[in-house]
Amino acid sequence: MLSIKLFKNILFSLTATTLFTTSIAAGSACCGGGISIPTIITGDDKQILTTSLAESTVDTFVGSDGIWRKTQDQDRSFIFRLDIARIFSENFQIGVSLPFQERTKTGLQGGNSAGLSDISGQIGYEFMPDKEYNLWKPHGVGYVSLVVPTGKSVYDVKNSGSPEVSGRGLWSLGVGAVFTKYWIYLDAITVIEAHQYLDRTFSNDQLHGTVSAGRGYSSLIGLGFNSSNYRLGASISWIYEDPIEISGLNSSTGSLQRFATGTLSVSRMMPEQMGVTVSYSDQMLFGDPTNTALSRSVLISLQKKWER
Amino acid sequence: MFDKKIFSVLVILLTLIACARPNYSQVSPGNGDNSNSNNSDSNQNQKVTSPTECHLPFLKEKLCVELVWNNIPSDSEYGSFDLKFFEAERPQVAVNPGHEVGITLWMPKMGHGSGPVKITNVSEGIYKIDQVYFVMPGQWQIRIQLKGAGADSVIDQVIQEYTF
Repeated sequence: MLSIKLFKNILFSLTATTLFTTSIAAGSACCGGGISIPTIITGDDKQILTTSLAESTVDTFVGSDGIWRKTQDQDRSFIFRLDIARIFSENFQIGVSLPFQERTKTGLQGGNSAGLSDISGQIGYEFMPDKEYNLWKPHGVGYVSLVVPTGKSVYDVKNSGSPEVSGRGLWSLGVGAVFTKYWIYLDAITVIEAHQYLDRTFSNDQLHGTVSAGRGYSSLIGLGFNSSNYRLGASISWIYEDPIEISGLNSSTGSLQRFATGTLSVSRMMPEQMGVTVSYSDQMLFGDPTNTALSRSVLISLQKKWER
Repeated sequence: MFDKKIFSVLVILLTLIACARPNYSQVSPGNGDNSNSNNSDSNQNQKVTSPTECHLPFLKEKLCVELVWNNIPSDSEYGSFDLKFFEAERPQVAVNPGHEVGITLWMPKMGHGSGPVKITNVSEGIYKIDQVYFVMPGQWQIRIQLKGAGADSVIDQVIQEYTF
């Protein structure tokens, strides 16, 4: 019985962590934006290493007027991502995410570019452990996160439609919590998160002024069905970003950004504490998107875990 | 069995509640409705060289400018337009604006620009603007600026709204 519970726990923590990675792949809407939901250890593991490759294609732009406009040019990104999370004391953990992006665009200002996107790190604290099984009480991990604008942003390039754009261009500090729960064949996950962007001043051909992006919020709910070594998962995440206010030469007050991402994933647990996940994410299915670009993504990830 | 039912019901409920309702544009990029910030008249596709009214006034400099499209930009082609600066009392006569002319293609809702355009001073008060391109569909502004000495100095500007 104990081994079955342990197995379920391992399988769930494997797939749940993968869910976060999946949401990252589709989290980038317009202009290298989006937030970074971290890899968090939710099971009895000491360390988790995840590599993933996602292909994301922009399909539609939605204006602040709510009008959907199909893009005529092809805008495709391959994002290779390396995530590592490690427990460093009884309840604390640390994680880092390193994304690399290759982006190809067609059209008048199209081209191809590759480089580092925004890297992120987080420190997590297990504030709601599940040492004794309870039917309803979830397992909870809180975290603080930092996103470092290592990718080129729309404010750094001469042409904002350039494929060089791979990041948001702003530092952000976030706080959030991950709640997980499993019941025999089923599991559930909830993530809530808020982040604050730090103002940044740019001075180049396009922009002489300060970018103030305010705050953003995100949430995710997901359900999974486990059978044998497989897990079928579904999740929806919602992201809200405050209007981006520009002060200086070309000032503007901006408009809020909002979109939702639906994800379906299939995971398989393999020997040696490894697992593989394939997922499909679509930003055109859910929510009431506004002022954003909507993408579809396919992701494959490979994960290796080390037990405590 | 009970858990499976709960799972199924939750998935169906969430899916139905959260479904998006796309409202697709019936207008292809480059054929949208366009107006300036002070007047709703369209200037698109006009062949006007002798304006009769001041639709785009520089309030500080007491000048007017007229924007006339030569080519509407599309996804596959750069656009171009002409600018004619004039005084409101004498719209037939083009006048030197007295400052360097700058053009910024700006997406105010997203807070970023497009790309640089090519500005050519054809004759006194007449400018030709080439390589006009909008990087994504949506609501744009063509900001016509009279610049000061510094790179970040704008003395006066008018804004032409544009839906791409």
